[in-house]
Formats: sequence, structure tokens, C-alpha cells
Amino acid sequence: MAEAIVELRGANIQQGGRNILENVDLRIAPGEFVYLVGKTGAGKSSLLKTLYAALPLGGGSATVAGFNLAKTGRKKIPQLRRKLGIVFQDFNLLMDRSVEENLRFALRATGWKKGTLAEQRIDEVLMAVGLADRRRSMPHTLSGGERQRIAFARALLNSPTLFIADEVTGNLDPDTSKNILELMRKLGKEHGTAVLFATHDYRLLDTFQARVVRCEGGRVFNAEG
Amino acid sequence: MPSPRPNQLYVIFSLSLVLFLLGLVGLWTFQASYLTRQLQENLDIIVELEVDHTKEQRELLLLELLAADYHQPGSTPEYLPKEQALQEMGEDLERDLDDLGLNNPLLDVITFNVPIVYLQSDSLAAIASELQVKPGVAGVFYQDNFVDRIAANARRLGWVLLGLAALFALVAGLLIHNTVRLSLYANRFTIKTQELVGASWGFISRPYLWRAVGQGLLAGLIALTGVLGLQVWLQSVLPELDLFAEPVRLGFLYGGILLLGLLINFVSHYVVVRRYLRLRLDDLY
Ligand SMILES: Nc1ncnc2c1ncn2[C@@H]1O[C@H](COP(=O)(O)OP(=O)(O)O)[C@@H](O)[C@H]1O
Ligand SMILES: [Mg+2]
Repeated sequence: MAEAIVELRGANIQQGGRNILENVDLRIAPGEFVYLVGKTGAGKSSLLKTLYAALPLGGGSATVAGFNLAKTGRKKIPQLRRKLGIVFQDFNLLMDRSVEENLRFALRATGWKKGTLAEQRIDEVLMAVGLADRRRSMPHTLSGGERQRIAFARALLNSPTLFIADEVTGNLDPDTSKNILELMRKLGKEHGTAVLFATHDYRLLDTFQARVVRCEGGRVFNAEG
Repeated sequence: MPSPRPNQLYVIFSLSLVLFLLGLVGLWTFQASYLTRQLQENLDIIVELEVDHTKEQRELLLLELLAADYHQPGSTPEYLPKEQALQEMGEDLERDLDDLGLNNPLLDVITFNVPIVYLQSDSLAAIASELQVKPGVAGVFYQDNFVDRIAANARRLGWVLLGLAALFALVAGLLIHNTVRLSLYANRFTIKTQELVGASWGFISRPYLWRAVGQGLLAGLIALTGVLGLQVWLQSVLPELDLFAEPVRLGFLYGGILLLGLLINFVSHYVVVRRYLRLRLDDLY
């Protein structure tokens, strides 16, 4: 079995020193698609934040994309995040600049030099989300679904090993939601990227069969969906 | 990087004020020490000789003074006979005092200068009591406290200026803190995006720090213009102040002002930006 992208053992997820989820065991293999479901307030976002080191690990052990979270200091966190593609409901585009400027902004923030290589990469990720023709558009001219796809394109830039998607369909109608979900699965497959897809909307689980992880009562349950 | 404009102007203005005041403190310190040195080196200590002192006693005293370590090197103790003293006094009074037919009431005196390190009440007193007991000496006189008073006043004004500078430094610090915080807040989405895609703190802070360097230099230049302007003006009204007498020291002062402005602004921006980046991402929103 290949080395896991996410490996939690007896992990505690905390907010302000308070345990939100206790004794979490979770293993995600490379390229695997996982639904993370649970009611609002169940602790999904807290779990994801711990994975991308926005919350400190409250105990137990956790490895994400090869980083041991207990030992990942502040200076290493940017390296960890470059291995992750983070997409939120409200982690949207910067509205004051065009699609390509949004993407360039992310490239520059992660150490890319200006030039043809960067421009090529922008073309590639836009192509991957099917919006190559929107390169010069301003975000406010795009629909909600299109904006979220640009956000995926941005998450793709550094070829992550794991997509972390938190309620990414929160603002979208059911059809668009399903399209986004399909796109995530397709991107995961094409790029060998694992996906951890958090939602409180159980209806989305019908979109396609995949593993389901459930947050409930302060615990995390692995179940087949 | 949008940021509330007037705030930045306040920062530059208050920083300039701090630097200007510090420049004045520096200028004042240099100038006070330069002026007091001038005055001090010309302070005469007067040794009155007894009416019946001998020529040998007098010459021995002159030799001893010349060799003493409290004697200002480069100067010579001077013997002033009472006749000459009377004549000089007469010249000052524009009368021929000899004509009055009185006995000359003055005594022969020797005057000498001491190095600056001895120009304190207790050292001077020690010198005086040492000379007092020498054969032929009637008394020793000097202007006590003269030096101490000048130095104390110079220091007092220096402290007042320094206190003002500290006050404005506090104001500048608060303004910088506030401005940076507002600017970070105005850019919170940009910063959050940078953090989530994996930008380092160094990358995120860089534009703020560059701006700090620019502002610091600008404030330094403004302060420098103020100090120089004041100097030029004072020099034209009071040329005897000799304000440009020490160009090398002045150069260091000017350079110091510029460097200090840059440093103060850079460090305070660095501290504030780091502080807010260290706060958990969510707490900023
Ligand atoms: N910044 C925070 N500080 C303290 N508690 C928080 C914070 N964010 C969320 N919580 C608490 O953590 C628990 C889990 O919230 P969250 O992880 O957002 O759940 P979900 O994403 O499943 O809706 C909730 O009880 C919530 O009140
Ligand atoms: Mg949530």
C-alpha cells in the first residue's frame, strides 16, 4: 500500500483548547475521494483546518502530505500548504483583479518567477476546469459556479497531492453543485490528487459512490457510502 | 496595497518630528560641548602674590605651575605685576590712576588655565588649597560654579528635548501600529489568500517592510531639512555660534538621523506585521 496522504491516529481536534473531535483515526490514500459529512457545528471545518495547520493538533499523531503536523513549525507551514489545494465556500477570488491576475498572484506567492512557465501553467489549470476562455474576465462577470471552478484552478497550480474542499457548494444551486462535485472527482482522477470533500448536505452523497467519513458527537466514523 | 492615506501622512509627519527633535538633541549636545569647551579653556585661575614675595618665590611658582598636571598644556602661566594691572585697569576706566597719587591697592598676580577635566568645583578647590600654602601666595581665585552651571543648563535643555522626542516617538509608535493594523485589515482577503496558497510570512510582509523603508527615508529627509534649515538660519543670526565648526561630527549626525528613521520605521512595521500574522488567521476577520 502506498504511503497515505493523510494519516491521523488518535488525533484530537481542538478550538481554543476545547476538544471538538476526539481520538480521530483517518487514513486517506493517494488519489482517493472521501466525503466528509456531518451537521453544521459537528467539527468538519475544524478537522480540515487542523489538516492545513491553521489549528494546532490537540494530541495524537497526524501526517499530511509527508508533514508530521506535531513537528511542523510555522516556517514549514507554507511548504505544507503548497502540497494542498484548499477551496472553501468563501475562500473566493480577489474581486479587484482578473482571473489571470488572481492566478498569477497565487503563483508569485508560492515562489514562481514571472514568465512563460507561469503563463503556461495558468493556461493549463484554466483548461483543466474548462474555463480557458475566461482568462481575462473579472470575477464579478462570472457565475458562482464559474468562480468556484477558477478557485479550483488556483488550487491546482502547484499540483497538490490533496484537495481540501470545505462546503464548496454552499452558495450553489443543486445542479451546479453536482457539476462542481463531478469536476473535483475528475481533477482528482486526472492529477492523482486525493480529495477530502466536506459538506453538511447529505443529498450530495448521491452524486457518485465514494467513501464517506462522518463527524458526529465529537467522533469521526468511517463508513462506506 | 491600498491603505488609508491620511494615516500614512501622520506616520511620516510624527516620525519626522521625532527625528527632528533627536537631531536637535544631537546638535545641542555637540554645540554645548563645543561652546563650553571654548569658554572653559579661557577660564583664568588667579593666584595673588603676597606684597613682600620674592622674585625667587615667584619664578619657582611659575615653574611649578608649568610642570603641574593641572596646567593646561600649550598655555603659559602669566605673571602680571600690579603696576601693569593698575595701568590696564586705568585703560579700562579711561583714567590715569597713577595721577591720583594713591598707593597701588592691587597685588601682583599670576594667571593660568587648567585643562577641562579639572574644571569642577572640587578639583578647583583642591588646586586652590594646594597653591594657597606655597610660599609667597596670598590667595587663589576663580569663578566657582561657572562651569558647572553652564554644563547643568546645557544638560537640562538636552533632557527636555530628549523627553519631547520620546513623547513623539510614543505617538509615532501608536500611529505606526494603528496604520499597519488598518492596512492589514484592509488587505485581509489578500493576506488570507496568500497564507492559504502557501506564501511565507516573509513574502506577505515584504510590501509593508518596503513601504516602511521608503517612509523612514522620507521622514529622515524631512527631519534633516528641518535641522539644516534651522542651522543655516541660526548661523546667519548668531554667527558666533560657529554651528558648522565640526563637519565630520555633523556628517555623522545627519547620517544618524537618516539611519534612525529607517530603522525605527522598519523595526516597528516588522513587529506589528509579525504580531498580526501570528494571531490566528480567523481572529483577524
Ligand atoms: N474560531 C473558533 N473558536 C472557538 N470555537 C470555534 C471556532 N470555530 C468553530 N468553533 C466551534 O467548533 C465547533 C465545530 O465547528 P466547525 O468545525 O466549524 O463545524 P462544521 O464545519 O462541521 O460546521 C463548533 O462548536 C463551533 O462553535
Ligand atoms: Mg464548516
